[in-house]
Amino acid sequence: MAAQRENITFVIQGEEVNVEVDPSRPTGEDIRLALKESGIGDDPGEWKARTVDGRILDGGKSLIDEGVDGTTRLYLNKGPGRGG
Amino acid sequence: MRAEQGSYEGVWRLRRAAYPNILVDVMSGPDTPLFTLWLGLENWDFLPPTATILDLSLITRMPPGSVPGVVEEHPDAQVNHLVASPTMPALWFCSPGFYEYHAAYPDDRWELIRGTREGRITSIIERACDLVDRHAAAAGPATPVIGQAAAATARPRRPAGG
Repeated sequence: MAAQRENITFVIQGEEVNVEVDPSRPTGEDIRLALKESGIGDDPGEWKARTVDGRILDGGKSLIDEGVDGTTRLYLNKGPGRGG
Repeated sequence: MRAEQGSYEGVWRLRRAAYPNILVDVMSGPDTPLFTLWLGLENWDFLPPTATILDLSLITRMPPGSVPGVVEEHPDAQVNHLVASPTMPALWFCSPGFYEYHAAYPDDRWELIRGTREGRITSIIERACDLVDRHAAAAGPATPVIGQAAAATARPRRPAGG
């Protein structure tokens, strides 16, 4: 049976990237795909995905586990890094 | 910036932009404005913007402890980038892309960000939105808040004179 696919829109530093993902895989893999598609690279290390209301997704959980489907836009940004 | 606003529906919305000020409502979903982010861009982009958080009436600066921030685990300690001090009762962002950060960490230069995707106004606004725990703020006030720790541990200013 073919794996289920979802089209997810990621917003990365002001630009929208549409990526077809397998929602049962860990979200970290989807982040990697989106970064690669946007030309930024493919290391999801310091990048985090958030929902529109600011909830941070766990990169080890799948989109299904997080309750995210193709109608949801996700926002990718780097972690805070230095400062504070 | 106005063109990119649609991508951020429910995260932030532009309220007013008149040089050198930009006012942006920080949201937690399309119908939930939380606070207003003020950005001062007087020397843009020779210098990065300065910023603070106002209440939605634009009358009051949100005081330390009133805005929940995202606390990140760091190898050395817990880190937050939304800070305040007893001598200035307003929040600011000690984070790349903001004037106060680059003034405090001169070896991490603004010039390394300026002109890149990370240095765009929309990216800086999104960063500010990410440093506020919007999910917790929308849920109510009974959440740990940021700014208090920084305010409590900041050194008092040395008295003038002598």
